[in-house]
Amino acid sequence: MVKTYIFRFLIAVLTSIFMGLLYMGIGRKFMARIRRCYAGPFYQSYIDVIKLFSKNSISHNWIMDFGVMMGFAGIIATVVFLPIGPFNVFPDMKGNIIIIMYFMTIGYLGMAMGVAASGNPNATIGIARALSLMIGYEIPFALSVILLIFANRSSLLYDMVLSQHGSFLNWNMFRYPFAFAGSLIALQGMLGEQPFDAMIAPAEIASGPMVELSGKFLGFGFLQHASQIFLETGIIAAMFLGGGTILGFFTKQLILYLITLSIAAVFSRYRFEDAVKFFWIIPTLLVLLQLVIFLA
Amino acid sequence: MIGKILLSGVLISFLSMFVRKRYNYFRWILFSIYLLLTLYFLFLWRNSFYYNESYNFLSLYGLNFSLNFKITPLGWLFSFFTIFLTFLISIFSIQKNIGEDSEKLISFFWFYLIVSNIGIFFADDFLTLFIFWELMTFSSFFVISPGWIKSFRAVNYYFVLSTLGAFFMLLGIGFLYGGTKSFSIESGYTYLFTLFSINPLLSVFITITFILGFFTKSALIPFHIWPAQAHAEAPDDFSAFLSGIMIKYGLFGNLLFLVPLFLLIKNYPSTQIITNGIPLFSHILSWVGAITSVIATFLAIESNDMKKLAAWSTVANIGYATTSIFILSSYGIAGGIFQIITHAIFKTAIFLALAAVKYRTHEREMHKLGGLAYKMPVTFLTFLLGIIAAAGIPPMNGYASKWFIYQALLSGHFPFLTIAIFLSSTGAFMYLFRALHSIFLGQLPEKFDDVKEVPFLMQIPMYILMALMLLTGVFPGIILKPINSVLISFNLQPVKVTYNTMFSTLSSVDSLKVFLTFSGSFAFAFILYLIGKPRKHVEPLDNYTAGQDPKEFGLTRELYHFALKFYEPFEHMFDSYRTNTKEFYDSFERKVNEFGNFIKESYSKNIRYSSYIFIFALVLVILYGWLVW
Amino acid sequence: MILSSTKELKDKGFEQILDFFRKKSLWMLHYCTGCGAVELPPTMTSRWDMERFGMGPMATPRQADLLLITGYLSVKSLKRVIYTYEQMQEPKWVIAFGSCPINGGIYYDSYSVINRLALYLPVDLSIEGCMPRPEAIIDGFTKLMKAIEKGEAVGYKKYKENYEWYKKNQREVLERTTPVL
Repeated sequence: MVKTYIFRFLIAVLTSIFMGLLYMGIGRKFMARIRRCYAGPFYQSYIDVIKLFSKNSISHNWIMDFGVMMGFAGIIATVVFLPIGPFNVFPDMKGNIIIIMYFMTIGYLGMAMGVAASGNPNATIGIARALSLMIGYEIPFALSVILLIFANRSSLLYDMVLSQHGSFLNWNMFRYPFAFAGSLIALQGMLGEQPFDAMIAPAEIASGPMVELSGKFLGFGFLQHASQIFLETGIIAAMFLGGGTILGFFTKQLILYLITLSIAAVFSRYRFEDAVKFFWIIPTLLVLLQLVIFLA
Repeated sequence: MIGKILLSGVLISFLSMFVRKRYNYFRWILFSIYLLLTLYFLFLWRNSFYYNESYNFLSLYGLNFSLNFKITPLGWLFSFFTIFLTFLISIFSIQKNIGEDSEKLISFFWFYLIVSNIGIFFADDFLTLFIFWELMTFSSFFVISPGWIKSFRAVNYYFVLSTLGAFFMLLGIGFLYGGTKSFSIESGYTYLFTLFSINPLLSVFITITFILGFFTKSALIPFHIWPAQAHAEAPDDFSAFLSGIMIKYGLFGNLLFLVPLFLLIKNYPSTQIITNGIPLFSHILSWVGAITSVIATFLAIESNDMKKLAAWSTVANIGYATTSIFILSSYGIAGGIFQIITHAIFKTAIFLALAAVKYRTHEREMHKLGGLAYKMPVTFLTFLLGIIAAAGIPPMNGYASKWFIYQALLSGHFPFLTIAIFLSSTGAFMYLFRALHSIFLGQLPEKFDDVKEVPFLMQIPMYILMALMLLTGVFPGIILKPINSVLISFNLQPVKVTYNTMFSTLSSVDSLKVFLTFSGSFAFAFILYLIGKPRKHVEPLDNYTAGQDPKEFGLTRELYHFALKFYEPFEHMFDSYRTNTKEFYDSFERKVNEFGNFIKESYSKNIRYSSYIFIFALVLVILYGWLVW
Repeated sequence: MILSSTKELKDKGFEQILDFFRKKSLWMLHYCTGCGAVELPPTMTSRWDMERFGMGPMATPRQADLLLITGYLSVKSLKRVIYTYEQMQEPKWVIAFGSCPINGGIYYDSYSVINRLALYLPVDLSIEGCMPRPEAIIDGFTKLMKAIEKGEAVGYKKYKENYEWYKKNQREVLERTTPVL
């Protein structure tokens, strides 16, 4: 009983890391092709992570060690609750969306705590921006979650997946197109891609939260980002693209990630207070419109 | 027995006055012992519900005025948790008062607060409730302001609001007494319910008087200003009591009187407008709660004073609980009560951590602090777990109660209330992180280099609170099972719950599994951490400074701490709103002043004229009495 | 004795594997000292596309593996470069561009520019040219990668071993030019 849980837990976590890094590598390749160059091989991200873990590193105090680990742990713990295609770790909690949304925050909190403990103001400015941005994109995202909970009378992601079985026209993406558009913009903010990447502005605040991360600490940051890509595209894929088989699910995730990247490739950076305003107006109104249509 | 406990509280408080000033911590030891004894008796009564006591203290013309107490499930739950948390705070206070020349009267009046606490929660009729309510208001007035000018101003505001609320409540009680000729709460709301179909206007008025009475106490809009002043200026350990416990009396009043009333209306919807399955009145009140929580959240994001920030956070949490309670489903009421209790626990922890910080540093403004986590790890961990709970992150207790609130809102189809709660809950993460960073992380200023962890006696309540936050988060059934007996007393369906699993119509969640998953993930992260090359610690100022050696341009740790104006660009988004509100209040103030001056002048200029008005008004009142009664 | 030597052997083998990953993912510090900086943008962007080798610019010394001295180095910058180099985490490498870091170049008689970088920091590789074209830069990078794979690029170890000597040289030049106010 416990053994199977541990086994499933490891499968979910390792899959998220493995696939997340793969998406990152493919994404880099994709970005490079948009810019008419080639970039490294698709397995570049694995090399980077191994290199980072093989480097020496510094930390400023025990909170930094603890915070960075907690940040990574928070994200991979959330992945455990995500239905990866038909695969669920816990048969009685098949992707409880409210837990997922709140559990993700522990990852952010951990990472924020770790980098704030480094004592570099650039890091803290980055975190302040990221948190302000969060209050922006969470609103349209939460609204579309509420919409889908109302539509399915269940807050389990897996039930949402099941309700979209059959033809691809059953996908919530086609049933609720405005909500999908709003969530897609929210996804852009969640992943911190342009135009919503004010928190990691490299030239302005020296890559923000990552400023003092070296060696394996940066490696944890990398892994966290990889799992985060897996998790967040996974949530949207399950909510709007109908989950599917494991391979189909991975493909959908990759497509969502590539869509965000292709948006990112052509945009410059929003100031983050403008970004928050944008999130509160355009995507929120889109999802609200869908909600009103649904309720009416 | 309840009467004996109350009486012994009064007696011990007088006894404590004889303690010499040098040994003033002994007063707090007496206080702790009294709380412990009370707690013991409360524990003994855990199953003796509906036991009642009555003390006749006045007989006038055949009318008997008596203090009636009854142990209801709701009252027992509230009193047990409040007394337990006060006991933890009192342990903290013992150490705080060793060597500190604190005001003699704080502990003296705190005894009365405990007495009124028990009195309010066990009150069986309105008279008892009102007597202890007033006792609580008056004694808290003296505790908040032990003679400091700044806190006096704050407490004046609080006191005026509270007494105003209490007088409105008295008015409502008077009306109900006129109708039913008894002070009984149950007959009060059934009478009010029948009145709704006979005389809707009067009944709405009576309900509003009670709402004013309870909402001033629980600081809902438009009375949301007082906690930020009173909680911030009160003595540090008392702030924990104010914020964790005292603000809940208003919500208790709601649960005692308004919720049964609205439940009656909900079950027999004859005259009232029903929206979304609940009475319109109650729907409006839950919106008041939601708006309060949103506004308090944005005000908390802006505040730089750590105690003010925590006070605004309290107001926001009260907002969630109010919203949830007035949904009137069993999930809503369970979630509301659960939120009240979990908030009491984590806010006590947060305020005790802040009191510990202030005990060592004597600073309240956050930008003057920083990096204290490296010096005070226990305080830091208490605060960290507290804010994790307050932000509603699993596996701490705040998440369990928020989960219930969301289930209630979502299964009752309230999308916009949900989004309001969600907005303020995300904002909570913003301001809580600001406090965490500004106080405990970042750079430690040079002046705090020799700060030490607080003494062990202060750490004991912190350890207990940490354990409690985790325990009630992982096993929410510990609190939810007693809440179920409260729900049964409201004639509602109890919520389905085991010790570690919570069920609802939308989904179920096993907190133990959530907790174990997080532990497993942390272990996984730790293994990865061990695989990587070992790290080495460096100095706090050995930092990225764009290649410049900090020593050369006189960079100190204090200067390198980013805390002031943390969310400034975010705050700028609301500039126009802020100026508009300020203009509105300013013009309001001017109008009030003009009106007051007008009346003052008409009195003082011509005495004969004003005395005519007075006599005329008196005659009018007498005539009204003759005609109506 | 035998135990420690086998452990050493194992470590060496392990390090060799890791060196393969290190050479494949060189992150350079985006920090420019002289005129050579202008050659880096074309090297990074689509024309010459440095990312093919897994290289990329990084914002802070904590994250970077590679420090580029792109051209002449004034004494004022030297101080910053040393501070930055010491903040970088091992393994780390230094590449010098052009002739200025070797012998001072056209600034050989300037009062404010150092002539030989190797006296102050361990240079792993120098790229010829004034300034080197992107082709030359990429050629230099590939040479460094080969050196890393063979375990020959050990400047950071040299720096640690001869720390006193480097510090002495640095102190001399920095003290000579401290501003008098």
